[in-house]
Amino acid sequence: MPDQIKRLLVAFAIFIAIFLLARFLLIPASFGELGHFRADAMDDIAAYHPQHAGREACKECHDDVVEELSYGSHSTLACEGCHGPALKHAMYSASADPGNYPDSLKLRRPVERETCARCHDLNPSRVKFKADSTDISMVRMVNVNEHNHFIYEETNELIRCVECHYSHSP
Amino acid sequence: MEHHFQRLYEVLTQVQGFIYPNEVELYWSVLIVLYPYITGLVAGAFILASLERVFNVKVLKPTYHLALLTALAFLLIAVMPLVSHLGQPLRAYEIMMTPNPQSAMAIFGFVYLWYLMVVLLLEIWFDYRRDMILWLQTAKGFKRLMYQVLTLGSRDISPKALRFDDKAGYIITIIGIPSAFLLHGYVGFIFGSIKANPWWSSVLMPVIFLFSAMVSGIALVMMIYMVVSRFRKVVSDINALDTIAKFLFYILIMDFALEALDQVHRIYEAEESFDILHLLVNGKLFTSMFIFQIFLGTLVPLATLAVFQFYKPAVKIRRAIYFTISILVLFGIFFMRWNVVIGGQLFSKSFYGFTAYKNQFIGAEGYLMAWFWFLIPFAILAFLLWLLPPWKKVEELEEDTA
Repeated sequence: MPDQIKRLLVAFAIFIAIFLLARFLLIPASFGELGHFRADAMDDIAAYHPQHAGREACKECHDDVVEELSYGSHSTLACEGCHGPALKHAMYSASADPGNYPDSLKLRRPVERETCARCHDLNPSRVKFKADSTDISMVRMVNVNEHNHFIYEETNELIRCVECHYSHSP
Repeated sequence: MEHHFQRLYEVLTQVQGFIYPNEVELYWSVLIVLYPYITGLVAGAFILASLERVFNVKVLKPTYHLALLTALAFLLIAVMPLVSHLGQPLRAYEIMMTPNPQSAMAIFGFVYLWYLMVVLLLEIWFDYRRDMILWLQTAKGFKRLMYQVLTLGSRDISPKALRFDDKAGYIITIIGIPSAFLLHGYVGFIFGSIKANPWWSSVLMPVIFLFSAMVSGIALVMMIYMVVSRFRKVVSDINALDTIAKFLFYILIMDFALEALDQVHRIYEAEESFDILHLLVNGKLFTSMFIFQIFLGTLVPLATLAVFQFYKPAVKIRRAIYFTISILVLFGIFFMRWNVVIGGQLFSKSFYGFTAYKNQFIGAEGYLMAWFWFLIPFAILAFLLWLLPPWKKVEELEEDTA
């Protein structure tokens, strides 16, 4: 074997050895056990604490509101979509004096225009709402910035959506 | 709230007609234009080098090593536009560690490594081994250290060893030609295999990419050869330039014919996407396609080179024209990549609307960054030419044979 080939083989062997060593050191131990990902990631994700309680938990105390919600066009929405994650809130009410909530556990009562805008703002790429359609995925859209543009003089604030629309049964 | 609306309306001003929300912003930016452009230059420069080595076009001798070093200089940074675009450089190694074997994109690391390690570096090493050993005897300082490392301690320059080098280089070039085709055909395949995009999805895409790569690589070497000659204060070999220009002419014809075939096929098939593509080509891509790519980058060089086949003006004028043509071709092929990459994202897959591409000058994906990655290879090439000057090599060869 020519001398230069021997030297090249050594150089390539070193390169491949470094590559294999890097693979050995850098690939996480559980990679590929369940699929093309790190299997231990499942345990990591399972270890997260849940934040949401679910509608059934809300019903325990707020059955009147949940019933109201079930009639209108917001019937499919989750309570916590607007009011925020409520697990701690629900746990507290189950264990202690429900009438005496600490402020930190009180839920959001969203009244500002942004909350409604999340779904109802004008989005030209969405299918337009048709009144006679039974498709519940159609959402009524308005230009939230201009719709009913009334400003209170005292507070210099725009009129809130909830002053005309009842959000639990719009 | 105000900010939210301002952002939304700002974005909506760049939209025309109906477009899906995920199409408003154009994700594959100018850096993704640069990536096929640079790999194309690599593949093209290598194929020009192989003309001399394998197909025995001896008149191209002055550009042979220059073409190889150019290919290496550009290949070394070919992945950098991608790394810049992805914006997670510390995760870049993962493509080599755990590539998904079913993803064409994930295999790029190995296609790249094969071409760099097995083709270019090996070929250049066999070509320069003897010269590095000879230069080592007189070199000093950093250069000496580089030669010591690069020769891997090899000192054998017996005729037998040199014959072996020559043979090994020849075999590697033969492996290198299909590898260069693989490297750039692969890049075309990435686009051609995206079936959801009618502007990209075409089996001709790898072939078109390949021929445009050859065109751009040849033009690049032609330009660099003239610039390097000017810096060295020597006269560039007009016979070599004429021959390069002749090959450029032939391959330009093939490239143009293939791209025309692709378009004619689209026009005649007139699938459901045809109307939007027609609007795209005549609207947003008009300047970059008809004027930059087709007129300046293809027809003008093609017509000039065609005239040169029958009538050759004086050497001085020919040199100036060759230089201009090489710049025009490089410019045109850049816009060919632009039209593919950016063009394919400008129209909605609903076929009912367009978005716009607005880029910044400064920023992680701005034009300055693109220029930076395009100019770095020239600095690397300057270093390589200082370390491994092909012209010194040629002189010594002549001394040997004399």
